[in-house]
Formats: sequence, C-alpha cells, structure tokens
Amino acid sequence: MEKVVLAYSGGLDTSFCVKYLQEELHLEVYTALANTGGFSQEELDTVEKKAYALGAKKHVTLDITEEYYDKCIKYMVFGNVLRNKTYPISVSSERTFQALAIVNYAKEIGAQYIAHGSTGAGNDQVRFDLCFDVFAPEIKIITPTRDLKLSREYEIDYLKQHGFEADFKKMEYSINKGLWGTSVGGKETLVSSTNIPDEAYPSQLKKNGSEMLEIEFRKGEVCAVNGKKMQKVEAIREIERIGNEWAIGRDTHLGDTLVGIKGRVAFEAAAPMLIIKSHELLEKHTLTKWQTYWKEQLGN
Amino acid sequence: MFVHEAMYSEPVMRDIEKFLENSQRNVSGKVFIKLRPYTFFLVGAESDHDLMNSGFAEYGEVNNAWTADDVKGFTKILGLPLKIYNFVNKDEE
Repeated sequence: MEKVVLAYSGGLDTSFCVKYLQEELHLEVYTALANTGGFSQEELDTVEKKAYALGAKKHVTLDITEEYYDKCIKYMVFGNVLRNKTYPISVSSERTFQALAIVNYAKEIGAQYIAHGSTGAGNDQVRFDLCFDVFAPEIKIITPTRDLKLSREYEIDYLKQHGFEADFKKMEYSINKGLWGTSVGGKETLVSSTNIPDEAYPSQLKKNGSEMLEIEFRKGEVCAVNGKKMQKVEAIREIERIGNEWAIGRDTHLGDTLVGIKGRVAFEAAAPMLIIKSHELLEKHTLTKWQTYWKEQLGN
Repeated sequence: MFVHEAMYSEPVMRDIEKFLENSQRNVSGKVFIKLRPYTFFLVGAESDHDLMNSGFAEYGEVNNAWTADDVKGFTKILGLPLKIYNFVNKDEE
C-alpha cells in the first residue's frame, strides 16, 4: 500500500483529509504534526488520539520550536517585522518550517505522497507546495480540501457519515495557534465590515487597572523578563502569558495574497506586539537615523 | 518580507539576516511597559548605548555643543539648494 504523509493539525480540514485519503484514495496515512510552539503537551496528546481515532497508521509530532525561533522569529524581532504595519507574520512564517520538517519526515519513511489541508483560498497552499516542490520534487502532493473545493459544512458532514464526531462549534472559527501569535478566521472576516466577536479570541481579559512589565534586551534579543533572566522561546511564552491576561495584541490583518486577491484575518499576538514595540523603542534610543532608515527598507 | 511569501530559501534572505544581526550590536537595554486592559503603553527605556545621553547636548535645553552662530551658518547652507531651485525655476507654478 502506498504511503502518504499528511501534515495534520487536528483541525477540521486536516481531519477530513485523514478519512478521505484512506477511504477514497486507499492510502496508508502517516500523520505528522510539525510543532512550531503553538501546541501545549495536552493539545499534542489530543491531536495524536484524534489521528488514531480517524484511522491514521501512525502519528508523529515533529518539534521544531527552537529552530523556528533561531531561524525566523529572532530576525523578525531584529527587523521589527509587521506585515502591512500590523501583522507580526504569525502563521505564515511557521509554514515554511513546518513544510521543511514534513518533507524530511516524508523522505525518511519513503512516502510517495505528501498531503496537506490547505484550501485554494490563501497563501498557505503556495508556501507548502513550493517548499515540497523545491525540496522533494519526486514526491507527489495531494490537497483534497483545495481540489474538491470543499466547504466546512461538507467536511463536517463527511466526517459524521464516517463515524467521527467532534466539537464542531469550536471548529466554527479557523484558529491557528502559534508561538508568534494566533490567527482566527471566520465568517465575519470573509467580508470587509464585520469582525469576530470578543469570545472568539483565545485569550479573554482577566485583569483590571494596570501593571508594569520590564523587558530586557541584549543585542536585539530578549534576555530577561521582569528582572528574571530568560530568553528565546521561554521568554516569548512568559511575555505571552503575561500579555494574554490583559487581552493585548488583538487586531486584524488585511493583506494582498500571493494568489492575487486581498484577504482578512483576525489575530491575537500579545508577545509579538510587546516585544516588537519595545524593541523598536530601544532602537530609537540606540541607532542612528541612517541605521533606522535602511533597516526599515529591508523589514518590509 | 520574503518569509511571508514562501521565499525563505532565497539566498538574499541570508544576506539580509547578516545585515540585521549586525545592526543589533548596540541594541541592549531595558524597556518599561505599562499594561492596561486590551493595550499597553511604552513608558521608557534605559541603555548603556542610549544616544540620548550625549553628555553635552540635551534636546530643548541650552547646551555646549554649538553656538548660535554655528546654527545660523548651518541653516543658511542647508537652505541654499532650495533657494537656488526657486531662483532658477521662478517661473514655475
């Protein structure tokens, strides 16, 4: 039986793919979750259980969080990178690293196919396909959700028919939780004038009044939070934890997609906003006018 | 940035990374932030490399780095290219 590695996130689109690849294409499904820091251990365990419940032959978690920080996030802070002056490139930056991890795993187990749940609507499909094509041109790509032009309703029904039910209400909003922010897409963001309700955001306001936060940097990287030495992924998580209690970092990204149209998505990114804005302030104090000027050109 | 558009493996990204890394050599210090519901406020910063601490000139105050004559001469020369342009193109709308 031929093997397919499916980039599995536990969400609706990829859950649909697990069933579809087995039932309709008769492939042995190896699910892999490339973790760039957006999942807790509990969530990783839930995803694994789901994968097996859906009939996956094997499930693995590929942890690439530290690599993602060192090769990507670090530079995004250096460059104060905010897409369209707003969006700290949460989801999109992860995709390349996830794709690379998936490709390496697929080569490792000798899979003939790689599948992913990208829809035809946005940028992820290009990011994944390009990466797979460049680094593993001999492996064929399958994208059920995109090719079949499926709606969320159809996928939910198909799963129900094949004996799999899950908390569908939660799946009403397409949530991509990451180390560097979480994006939330839903019916309100498909049009221009509305936005998602407060409750749809992963973090809710828990505090009142005000509180001080001190972030220390060393050569552009966070080295301490509130006086306690911490860096890289740990520092991001701590700042995120603090910022989330204040429901900081909510905004909407409106961008020009690679596929030619404009798209909107809501997001929550406490740590990126706190880190980028404080990093920017520190640069205003320590860089010359021309250093700032040229950095701005490159950060775009 | 290229990362957003799937071009992470484009060689120029490696060049940009080196540039960015180098730019950070003096970006060290502390930043003080006030957190409020749904938002935050940057109170200020402290750094050994703070260019605000020039030691001899403070914004808005009397200082020892230049005299009034220095500024007058500087301003005159700074405005000269514009004066030349306006003179040459005085018939422009």
